[in-house]
Amino acid sequence: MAGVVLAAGTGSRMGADGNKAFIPLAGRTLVSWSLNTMADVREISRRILVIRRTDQSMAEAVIDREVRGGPVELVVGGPSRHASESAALKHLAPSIEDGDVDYILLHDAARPLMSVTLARKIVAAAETYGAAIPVLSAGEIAQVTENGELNRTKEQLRFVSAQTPQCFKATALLGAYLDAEKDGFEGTDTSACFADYADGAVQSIRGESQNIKVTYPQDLFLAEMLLHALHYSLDRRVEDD
Amino acid sequence: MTSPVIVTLRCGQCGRETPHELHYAGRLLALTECGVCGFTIRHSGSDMKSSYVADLGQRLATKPRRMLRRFARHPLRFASGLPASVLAKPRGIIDEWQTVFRRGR
Repeated sequence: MAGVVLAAGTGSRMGADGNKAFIPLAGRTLVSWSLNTMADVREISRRILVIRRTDQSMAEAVIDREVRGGPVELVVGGPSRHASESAALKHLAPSIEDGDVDYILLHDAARPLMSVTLARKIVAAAETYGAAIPVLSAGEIAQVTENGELNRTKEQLRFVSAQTPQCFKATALLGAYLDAEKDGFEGTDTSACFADYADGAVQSIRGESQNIKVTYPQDLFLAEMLLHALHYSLDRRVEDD
Repeated sequence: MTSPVIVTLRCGQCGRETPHELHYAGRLLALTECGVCGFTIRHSGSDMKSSYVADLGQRLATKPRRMLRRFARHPLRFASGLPASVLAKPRGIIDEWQTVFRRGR
């Protein structure tokens, strides 16, 4: 199984110098928290970090200084999440076709608090169902009309918010992305492309509320506090550096 | 004041994805500021001070072990970079203290 951390395509919209994936959080970069967690997921035998070309030397330095558990392969991503996923899949394609990589766990570097427990739950579910993603109930979501009025529909729908890591059977995911490329389709996340182009459903598994996505600056304060409360251990104590 | 990290985040006030300055004191985030509307979030003063002192103590306690690990990984790189690191460290600590204690007055 391969673990892929997506760290390209963030922080570039306004031309800022810094990539969100390399923000310091409690003494190490966002991306290294996820890579170290993947080191503790025993099903994962290869780790891939998808980066922007301009971040290559920084990524190499971060891996050398902060990441434990063997090599991390660097892949240059694209301008969108979909393009970065596609780059990672093409990098892995020979191993997928040879059967050396059977499942792929994809994770967004902007979620540094992924736990080993959650990753392993998603992997186990994907091995059963073919594809699995973590979700949380999005109970506060309401429909509104174009005028902004609440739409009091009687239809009962359950809304969830999707998280990462997301895990997929590798052959199906690679096939889905190759077919999507022929159609010029770009999904918002991995499961969107998989759902449209691969046979079989995507199973949702309960995610973790602590698995926050760093979007707003206040998310960094929250992530720092959560890490402190967890004694800086996402299931296993990580050596500080 | 420590050098800020500049990164694009969504501002909680103006709602846009804008460059933000992030100021750290050691490993702790002290302050964030939106580069467009100036919206600033600060780690609260007294809590920041106690957190910083505890964090600094932990960093000092683990420093020998971390230096040893870096030496074991890259002996030449470690040795060649050591003089510059030793010279820069006091300035870095002073900057951190200024970030934490001056702004809290």
